[in-house]
Formats: sequence, structure tokens, C-alpha cells
Amino acid sequence: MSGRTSRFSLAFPGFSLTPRRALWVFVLATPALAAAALNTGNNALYLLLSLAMGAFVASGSLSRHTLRHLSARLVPPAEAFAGAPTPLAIQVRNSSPWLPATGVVCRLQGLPGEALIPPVPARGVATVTLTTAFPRRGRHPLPAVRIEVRLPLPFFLKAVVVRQAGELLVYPRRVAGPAARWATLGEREMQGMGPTAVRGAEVQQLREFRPGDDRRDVHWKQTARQQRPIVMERRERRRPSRFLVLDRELPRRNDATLLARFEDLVSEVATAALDALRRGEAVGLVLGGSVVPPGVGVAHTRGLLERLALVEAVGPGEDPLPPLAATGAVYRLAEAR
Amino acid sequence: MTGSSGGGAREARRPGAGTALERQRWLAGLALLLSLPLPLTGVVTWPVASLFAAVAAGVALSRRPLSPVPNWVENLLAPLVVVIVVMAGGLRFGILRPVAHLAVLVAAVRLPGSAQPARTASFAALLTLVGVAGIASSTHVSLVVYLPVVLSAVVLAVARLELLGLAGKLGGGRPADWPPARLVAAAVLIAVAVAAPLFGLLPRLRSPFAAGVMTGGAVSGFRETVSLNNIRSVQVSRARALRVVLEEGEEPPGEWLRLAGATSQSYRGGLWAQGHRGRDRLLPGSGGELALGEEPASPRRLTVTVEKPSDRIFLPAGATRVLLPERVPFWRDPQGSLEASRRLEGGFSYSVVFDPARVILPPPNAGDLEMPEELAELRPYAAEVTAGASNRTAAANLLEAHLRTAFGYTLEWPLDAPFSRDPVAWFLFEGKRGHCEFFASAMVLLLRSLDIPARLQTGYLGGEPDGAGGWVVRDANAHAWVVAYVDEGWRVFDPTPADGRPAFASALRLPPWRLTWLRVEEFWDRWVLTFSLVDQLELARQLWERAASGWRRLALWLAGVVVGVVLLVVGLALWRRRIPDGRVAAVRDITVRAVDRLRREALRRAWVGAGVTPRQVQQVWREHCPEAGASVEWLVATHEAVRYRGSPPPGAREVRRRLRATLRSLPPARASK
Repeated sequence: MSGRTSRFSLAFPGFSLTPRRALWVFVLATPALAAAALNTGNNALYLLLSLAMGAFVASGSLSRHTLRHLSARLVPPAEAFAGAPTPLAIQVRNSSPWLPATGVVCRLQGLPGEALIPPVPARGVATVTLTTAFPRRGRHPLPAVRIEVRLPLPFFLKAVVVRQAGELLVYPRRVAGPAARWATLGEREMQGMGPTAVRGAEVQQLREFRPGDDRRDVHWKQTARQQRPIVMERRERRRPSRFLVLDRELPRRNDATLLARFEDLVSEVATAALDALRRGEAVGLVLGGSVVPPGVGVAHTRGLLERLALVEAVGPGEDPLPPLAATGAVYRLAEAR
Repeated sequence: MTGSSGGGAREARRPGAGTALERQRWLAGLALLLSLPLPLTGVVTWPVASLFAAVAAGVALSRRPLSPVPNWVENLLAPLVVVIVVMAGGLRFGILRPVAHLAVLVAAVRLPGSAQPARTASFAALLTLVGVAGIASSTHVSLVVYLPVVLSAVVLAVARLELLGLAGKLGGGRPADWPPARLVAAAVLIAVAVAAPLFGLLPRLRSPFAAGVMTGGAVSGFRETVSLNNIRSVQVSRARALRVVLEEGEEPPGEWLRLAGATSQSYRGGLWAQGHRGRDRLLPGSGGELALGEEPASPRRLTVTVEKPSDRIFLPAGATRVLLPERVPFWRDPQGSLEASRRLEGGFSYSVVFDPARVILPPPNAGDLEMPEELAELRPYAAEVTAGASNRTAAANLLEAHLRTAFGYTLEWPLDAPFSRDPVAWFLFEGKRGHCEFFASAMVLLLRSLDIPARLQTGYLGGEPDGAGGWVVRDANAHAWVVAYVDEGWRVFDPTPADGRPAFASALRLPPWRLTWLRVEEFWDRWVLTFSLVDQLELARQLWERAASGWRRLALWLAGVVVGVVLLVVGLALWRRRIPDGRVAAVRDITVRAVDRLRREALRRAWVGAGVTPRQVQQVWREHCPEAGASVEWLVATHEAVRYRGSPPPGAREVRRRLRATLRSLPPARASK
């Protein structure tokens, strides 16, 4: 009935009060009623006045009771990309032994996202999912949840902020960018990463086990039959050498424009990596001097995204790239003159 | 009034139309609820209240949100509203009644479309005005039930609409969600629990009036001066006037509860005047005793408590002695009425010794036969009525019977009564209906026209048992009657028809439930309706006296209060420190504090140095205090689980219990050294 809230709020230990329009109506009407009662001596008016004041007290104590017994726990999502709608589950627990909580609204502090919680029974839990969006990639503390209570009479909006333990790694923003730029590393850099060939799937021949053989290649049936260890010799495959290369070095340090552009570059790299990985193609990543060998799979994808979520720009000469076979395919910021 | 159906259908399909419809229904329902007491209390006439109720019911039953009445229709209705207000009495009955009529009619016009957010506030204000008017003019004990019901409905409506608004704005929730019954019930219970002491404590700076003045009409009640032209419409008021207690266990005849407050002799143009000429000043004796006549052979005694401020002493016809609470000088006029020299606060009591077989008044004089010349036409009329009467008593009896049977009783002053005509003559020859003052006035003047001395008395007649051995006399028991000097003595005559005479309810004939109900009403009347500053001061005085009478008890009581307050504060503090389930951060704090307490204890006993991990704390405790090992292990493991694994926190009580158990198992610090 009186949905509007005023702008200022009063902070108290543990909760805050924001007056609503109903309060101002009450503040104006009650003295008028008191004046009428005092002036006329009509006890029915005194009765009405007492009941109005009693209702005010009742509303305050009940909403405070509800608020005191509510807690909220945020369930972080499996993955979150900057700028993308992200569902967050909120578990609201009502520890009141007798009073259900109704009309409870939860909002994320500092982030978009609000939801009306379904009625939470006494000593019960209700879960609701709200959608938010993280503006930046990187490590974010889980946002605090602001719990708001309005009922039974909406004189005040009472709120408590429940801080959340833990943090969330937000992956870079996904963008619709140009075609991916792939690079390959030199032989020396590839050798530093271990064998350039990888174990193939095709079996070439069976032979007796020699020290150094991979135990995964033991052919157990033949080993049992011949009573000696037999291994499958596989045809080796060349290790793929497709890299997305991001140069962390900026022409100048602490330049807001360059930093913003660097964010765009990170987003482009992340998008290209994701697209390729979803097609089943192996993707490697070069971030300054650090190199992630090409690979596929969920764990590899998560590893790449985590690195891209946390990568930071550096100044000139602070983190040079390794020698590249194709130097033109680098994601790099250069100042136009 | 309801807008076009096409527009309404379009509106119903609009988003939020469900909320608007529900808001409309709640507003109409509240309007119906709030309009209930209006016609019952007389602040609004039945036709107007019925019109409002019909509109409210129609709106409540509507299946779509209604559009407001167009402006041009409102403009057309405005003069009609004014006409209805004027027809319902206008300003003749004071200001409140027309204002209430106006508010109700305007509310009826604005009810359709009131669900629109822009119009809800103004309609709610109108509705509040209507509700306050209805409640303020209510005096019945059912108000105790009505007010919580109204509060429940308001809480339910506001909470429901708030939920609907939130669901519409934020999504989530369910449109079918209702505020829990427990919430509404708790709100009403707490409100009533807070309201009860508040009602007693709010200062009463004016004397209470229970009803009547707010109803906009004149009120039934005792008046020293009878003015037949000015009484207008009379509302029956249940306000308490007197409480009468007779001697122990005595059930009085109804006639004994006829208590006169004023006796009038002089009549001019509808006004019975009381002159101050010839008044005697009486000062009660040392015991507050005031002798009025000879002591009767078989005296009866009653105690009267005057509930409202008054300077009048109400006496039975045969009063011979009055025992007053204080030595206030009194005036006794030549007609026998007693008037205090100053106005006494409500709640004063006095005792009266009286002879029920007699009427004790000063002897008749010339003033008891005075008649205005313009009322000469009464002589032949009286002679005609009393034809055949053998003596004065018979004549008076005939007149009494004639007035009782040939005339009608009404509380409404007839609108067609001309001011140029004497009211008694108009009553006898044209109107043929009126209230008790008309009947009594007519009989006095008719008796005088037959040369029988007569006076008009006003006071109270009858009453109802209060369930506690006494009788409550209300304003509605106010009455006027006649004393005539016949057969060498004064005698009481009451020419008002039976339906106009205030009733006397015998306690003996009442069933038990009725007595219980009377006790409830008595409590309501005594402690709610007529609760006043005097009562507040009296309660405070009694409390003070009780406290002063035993200072030891007072000291004990105060000590008890202090201890109680301290316990309450400590309990509240403990209660507030209690960690509700699910507050991860707070519980984490308590597990951290618990482990830190173990660390400090270990440091104090020099088991460890500074900067140890919880696991190291656990280790040294296990070494030095093996019996506490399990508790310490639990505390440290819980701390780690909550802190690092995001496990659900344990109850704070459990953490404290384990910590206490651990610390209790410690050997004394010296021994350990």
C-alpha cells in the first residue's frame, strides 16, 4: 500500500532502518488522533490511539524478530564470466522457533541482483536463485547479501547485511571478436616443455617390456598368457603447437586507456581459446614468459581461463615473450604514432 | 460509476491488474468493516450508511478493477451529496454529523477507482476519517472485539498488498502467498498487550464523555434546566451517570430508583426555570451529615456514587438525611433540590436515608399554581379529561392515564413544530407525541389548571444490576416526572407511556449468563468508558499509599524490581549474544574465540610460546591435559571445518559447553607449574 521508501536510513548495531511512507502517515496521524482524544476526552479515541501505538510497537518488534532470525548463504556458481548473467543461489534460513518469515527480499551488495524470497517456515530454509553480473574478471569476494524485511506493517524497511565467506574467480568477458590469431613456438621452447611427441592411440606392435616403458601400455592379456610382461608399442603423434599469445607488456604503465584495451585483449584471447576448445582443438597459451602447452579437456579449459582471469598487465621489458615462429600472431598493444 | 466494460476488460488484461483488483477488494472490504458502527452509533443515518455499504459491497464483488467516476459525473454528484447531507439534518445536530455524512458520501463516490495507486492514499484518508468517526461515537462493549478485528483486517490487507507489490516488482514469491496467520495474530496480540497499559497511562485532561456529543445529536441525560424547544433529536447514551447500592442483599422495588436532581416550578414558553430566590445555605455537620426531614419509622438507606462531575445531589423522594463525603456547603432551593456550592469531581459518593412511603418536599406555595396566560386553553381540556373525578387524586390519576394512552412517545423533535406556539400546547393539541419532558410538563400544567399544586422533577429512573450488588444508572435513565400535592401530601406521577419510561432490571430475574455479561459491561463502563483523570490519580494515590504504608515492603519490592531488571538485562544480553544458526561469520568468530581461549590458557601456563597454530595448541593440550583431549580436538576440528571447509557451523551453545568442559578439566595453575 505504501511501497515508497525514503532515501535516508538509520544505522543501528546489526541492522539499519529506512523509513517508508507509512511511517510519515503514522507520524502525522497519531498526534492528530492524540489531540482529538485529549481535546474531547473521548475514551474510544484513547482506545484507538493506544491500539495504533501498540500496532506500531508490534510491527517493530515482529519485524526485528524476523530479521534477527534470518541468515543467508550464497552458493557460488560453477563458472562465471565477466559481464554475463550469472545465476547465484541464496539459501535463506529462518531460525525463529515459531514465526515464519514472509516478504523477505535479498539483494547483493555492490552487484545487481535482488529477489523476493518465498515464505520461509519457522526453523526452515528457502532457496532462491537470482541473476547477477560481475563487471570485471579476476578474484572477487562473494558479495554480501542484504536481507530486507518489511512486514507486518510497512513503517520501516529493516535490513541486515550478511557477509559471505569465500571468493569467486570470474573468467574474462566473452566477446564477439575477429578470427583467432594462432602462433607456434620455436623448437627450443617446445623442448623445454618436455617431449614434443605424445603417446598415440594406434598400436604398432607388441614386444617385451623394457625399463622406461609406460605402464599404461602393458597388454595384460598377453602378459598373462606368455607369463612375461608384454607392452603395446604405439605410434607416436607430434605434439600440436597452436598457441594464443598475449603480450602482457604495455607501452606505458598505469595508463587507464591502455589497461582498458588490455582487458579487451584478454577477452578476445579467452573467447578464441574457448571457441577452439569447444571444437575439440588443442590450445596452448603464452602469457608473457609463461607458456601453457596445448591441450584439450575440461581441466585444461579451466586452467586456461583461470590464468586469463588473473593475468595482469606489466610495464615494458618486465615479462618478455619467448621467441615465436610466427611473430605476427601476438595479441599485443602498441601505440599508434 | 463503474466505467465501461470494454475499458475494464482491457484493464483486467493489463499487467498488474490482478494486484489492482485485489487492492480494490481489500479497500472495499475495509470500507464495509469500518462503516459497520456508523449507523449503530447515530453518527451517520441509516439511509446514508446503507448507500455507502451498497457501493462498497458492489465494488468488493466486482470482478475487474473499476475506473474512477469521470470528473463530470463527480461534478454532477456533488450537489446531490450536499442535498443528502442537508436532508439528513445538516448542521442542526452539530458539526460532526454532517462532516461524517459528507465523508461517507464522498468516500462512496471515490470508492470505484480507489485501487489506482494515485487515488489509494486519498481514499484511505477518507476511510480513516469515517472509521475514526464511527469508533469515536461507539460506546458498546463490543468495541473490544471490533477494534482487534479491524486491526487484524488492516494488518492482513497491508501485508497481502505489500507481498503482491513485491512479487510484481521483483518477481519471485508466489501470487498466492498470504501473510502467515501467526504473524497477523502475533501483531494483534502484541498491539493489544501494549495498548492496554498505554490506555491507562495516557493522560486524561478532560472529563470523559462516553457518547453522544460525537454522535452529533443531543444526548439523553440529566439536565437541570428543561427547555422543550432546544432538545432536538435525542440519542440514547449508555454513559454511566450513577451507581446505587442499597442496603445489603436488598432487592428494591423499581420505584425506589427514582432519584430527583432538580425540581422546577416556574414555566415560561417551553422553559422550566429554576430561580435562586429563597435558597437556604446548608453546611453539613461534622460527619458530613445533612438533615432534610424527620427520621422515618422504618428507614431505608442507599449509597449513590455520582460518576460524572456534578453539583447536584440526586435523592429519592423520601430522603430525610444525607451523609456527604466532605463538608461542602449546599444550597437548598424552595422546591427541595440540593445543589453544591461548587462543582464536585466525578466519583464522589454519599449515603441517603429515606422513607420509601413518603415524598418529602417543602409545602406548596403560590408558585406551584402559576400558569402562563396563553395556556388558558388547557383548563377546558383538563376539565374534560378529569370529568367525573371525585377528588384531586382521582383527577391526577385520570390525567396520568390519559397522557399515557392518548399520546405517543418519540425521541425526535418534530420538524414541523412552530417556534411561535407554546410547546406544551402544541404537544397537547397538535403534535400528540414527544418525550418525557413534554409529558411531565403537560401534566404539571394540566394539574395547575385544575388548581392542583404541581412541580416538575428531573433526575434518573431505573437502572440495571451491575452484577456486584449495585445498580448502574446511565444517561439513558434520565427522566422527567411530576410531583403533585394531592390528599394533603406530595405524590409522584409519571405520565410518560411505558415505552418511554426508563426500565428497571431486577437482578433476581436475570439468568447467570446475563449477570456475567452485566459484570463485563460494568467493567467496561467503569474502567474504559468513564476512565478519567480522577481514576488515574486515584490509582496512583492508592499505589503510593500502599507503598508508604509499609516501607519495608516497599524496599523489598524495589529490591525485587532491581533484581528483576538486572536479571532481565543479563538474560537479554545473553540472549543477544546467542548465535543464531546459519550465521557463518558469527559462528566462525566464536570458534576462533574458543581456540584462542585455549591458546591463551596454554600460553599462561607456559606450555607454548607465542605464535602457535591451532594444531599445536591441540597437541600441547593433549600432552598436558589428556582428559580434555576429546573436547579440544572437537573444538579445533570444528574451527578448521568451519573456517576452511565451509562446513555448517555448530550451535554456539555446543561450542561454549565444550570450552567450559575443557577449562574445567584443567589442573590448578600452580600445581601444573
